[in-house]
Amino acid sequence: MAPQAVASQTVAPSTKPIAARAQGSSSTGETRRSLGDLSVGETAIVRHVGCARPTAVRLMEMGLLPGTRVTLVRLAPLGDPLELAIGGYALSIRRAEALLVGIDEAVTNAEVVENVGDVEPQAEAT
Amino acid sequence: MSSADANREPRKDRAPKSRGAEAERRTVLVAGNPNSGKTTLFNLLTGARGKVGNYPGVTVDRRSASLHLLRHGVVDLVDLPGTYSLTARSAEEKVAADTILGSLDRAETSSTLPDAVVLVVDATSLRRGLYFATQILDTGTPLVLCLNMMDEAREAGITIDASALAKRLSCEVVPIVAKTGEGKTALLSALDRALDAKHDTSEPAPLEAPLADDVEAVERVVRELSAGRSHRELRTLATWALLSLGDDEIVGIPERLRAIVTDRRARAAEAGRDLDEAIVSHRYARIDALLEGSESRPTAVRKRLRDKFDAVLMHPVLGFVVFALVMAGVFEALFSWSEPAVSLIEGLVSSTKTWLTSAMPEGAFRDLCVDGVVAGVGNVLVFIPQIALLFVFITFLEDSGYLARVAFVIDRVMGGVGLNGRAFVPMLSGFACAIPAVMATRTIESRRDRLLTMMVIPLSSCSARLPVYVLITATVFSPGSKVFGVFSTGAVVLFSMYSLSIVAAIGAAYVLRRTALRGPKPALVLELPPYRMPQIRNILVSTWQRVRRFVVDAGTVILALTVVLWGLLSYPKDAAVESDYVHARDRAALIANADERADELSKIEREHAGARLRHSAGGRLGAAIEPALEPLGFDWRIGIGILGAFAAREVFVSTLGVVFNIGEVDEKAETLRQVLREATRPDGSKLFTPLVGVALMVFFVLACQCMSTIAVVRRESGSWKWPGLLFVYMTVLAYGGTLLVYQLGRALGWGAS
Repeated sequence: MAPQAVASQTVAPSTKPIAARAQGSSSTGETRRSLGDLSVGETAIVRHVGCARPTAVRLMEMGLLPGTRVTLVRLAPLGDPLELAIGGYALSIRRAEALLVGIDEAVTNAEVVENVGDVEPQAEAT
Repeated sequence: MSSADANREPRKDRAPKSRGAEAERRTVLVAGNPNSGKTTLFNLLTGARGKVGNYPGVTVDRRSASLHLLRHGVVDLVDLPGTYSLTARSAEEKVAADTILGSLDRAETSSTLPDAVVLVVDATSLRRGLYFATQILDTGTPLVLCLNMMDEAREAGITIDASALAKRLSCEVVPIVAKTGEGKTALLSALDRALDAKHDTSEPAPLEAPLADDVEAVERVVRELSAGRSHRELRTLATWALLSLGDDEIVGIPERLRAIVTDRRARAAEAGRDLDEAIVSHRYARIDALLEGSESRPTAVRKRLRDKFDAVLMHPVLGFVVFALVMAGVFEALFSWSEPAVSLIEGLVSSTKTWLTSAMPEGAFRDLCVDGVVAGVGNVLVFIPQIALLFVFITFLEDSGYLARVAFVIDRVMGGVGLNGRAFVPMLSGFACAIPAVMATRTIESRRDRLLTMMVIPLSSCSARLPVYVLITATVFSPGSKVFGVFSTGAVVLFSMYSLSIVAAIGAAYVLRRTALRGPKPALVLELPPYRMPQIRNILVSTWQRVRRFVVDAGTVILALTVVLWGLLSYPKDAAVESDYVHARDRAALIANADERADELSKIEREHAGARLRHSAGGRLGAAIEPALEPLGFDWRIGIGILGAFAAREVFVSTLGVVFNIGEVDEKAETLRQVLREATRPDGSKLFTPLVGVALMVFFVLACQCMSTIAVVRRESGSWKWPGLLFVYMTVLAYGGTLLVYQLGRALGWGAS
């Protein structure tokens, strides 16, 4: 099926997310890191969105595109899912999907979460 | 959207109330991202009036209301569900593309296509909002872009040059604050201007190769399928197909279109190109060019309040504490706050029954009105307090931004059984009542997740099962009995039944996920919106709409089923029973002592009610299924009780009362317990042994004995297939589970006493 052909370009055919995690396990053989490898507070640039197709399209349409700066803001209390800051808002995805989003090496260990775009609501008085 | 519409002269100063205008009323669609304040804007424009229906063929709410414009008079405003793009993977998501463009077979819906679209975007995340906005603009439909939450954007230091943006997009751009009404007048006049405009049928901007080849190849197929469309529409449909088709759950797409999409994707993949990425990146590149110089954002946006809230609400420990407290609050409210209103409704229904009984002449028609229709109406009304309370809570949590955090916090736990974090609140509500819980599954985006949640909710041990547990426990166990000398037997029994219900729901979810609802586990893609103060008006409006839809849609089915069930338990009448009754009454009327006569009459009434029930179709059915119930330890009388319980589980108690000739009773009635304890089988052994009691409770945990649940699942799933499956699997589960408990118990020698 064509969609799978696209997805498998960058991710080893195994559906186990861990496969994408091991260095050099992908077909291209280069060193890879994924969003799932980021530590809280780290920022990185997305290189490829390799999730299952409907999810990949959705993430890209919501702005998680190759070239986008993404910061890992926090993990849920049980360690999964993850909260990401991208282009002006906060997005949550599971670790399983995050491991399929390839990144360039983490660029900063930013102290200030950049451009989260969330502002203090009017309700501050309450 | 037809060309006749587009060419029509703008109508000036038409009297808004003229009746003849209705046929040519313009339609304006209100679209927007989730959490963008679209509903608030809709309520602001329409004053919270309007009616709710369904989009054709899917269970997606379609709100519409009329709006008075200065120049174009009355227009129909239609609300589109919140979405980030036109792209679809399911019939539900396809609603957006269908509503804006019409289906591929356009003749079918062209009459209802919108004359203009009002698109609401969150000004604090404009880039993402423009993705959807440019998709709509590309179709050629006149657009009014509302930059909502301008106050929040200003505070965050974001500046947007609306007029520059308007020029670059060639559409109306209006900054607004929907919750305060700021910008409403400007929006209305912008909408008037947009309605003057024709649909743009100019050539779309050229695409670069190699993407252009792929899109044009698909455009050619779309043109053959859907004649008479502008190039812009064809382009939109072609890119829609390229992004949506493949791995989707959309039915009714022509095979030719699927084939060309598969072909182009395969070719692109061979050449090492990702078509999805190319299409989406192309659009975002356009958006970034549009925003260059018309939006400026500070590099770091402070968000102290959000940080403060998140520090507590998402804290590894405190986060769970708050979560547990909020959920306990919701649960407590459903369980106990609704009680006074429920009692009031029950009181009103029963006094209406009494009044009607005395006001109407005796006969079949009176019985139909009192025991069929009024009881049926009562069965519908009695759910309203819980539905209203649950939706007040859910809307509050949703609008405040906390419901998304609930899903975030609990997703890991729910994911373990193949459910989505958003399924938690509906599942929890199921312990109060399955009806509002099933309705609450609408907060779950993926249809498969929603159906799965709907299918397991009825296993949650709802409050209607409690009276049954109470009656049975008190009947089969002596009041002071203890387990391990510490816990009272009643508490242990209750605890076990609730545990069983949770285990059964988890198990059923596990199995259904791998059978009837097989498929890849949908990924979680969840926006965590900023915390906002919910608008009271929004809460009241959406709660009212839920209640009204329940009464209109599910209510009619519940009413009809109640009448049918009443008929089954009352007819056919046995001539011998009726004549015996008349004779017995005549004899009793001769008793001289007034007290004795009254006693005798009520005894005759009770016996007659029992005899009538036993001879009715339902009663005979109960007796007929006795052989099937015997392996479970039940006899025909319990069988009739179980049949009667389909009206509502708690009816089991009063049905048993009638079967055992003691008239109307409740679960605390000592007479009923006494009679049940003394009831024997034909061989003289006790009917209600502890083992039979436990088996009966297990049956009640697992069986789908609630026709209101069936009706509401039918309504929320959109077909009879799902309630059918629900009924069958729960019945099989209940029978199997009860059989196991009873037979195992007997084998272990617990059958006696």
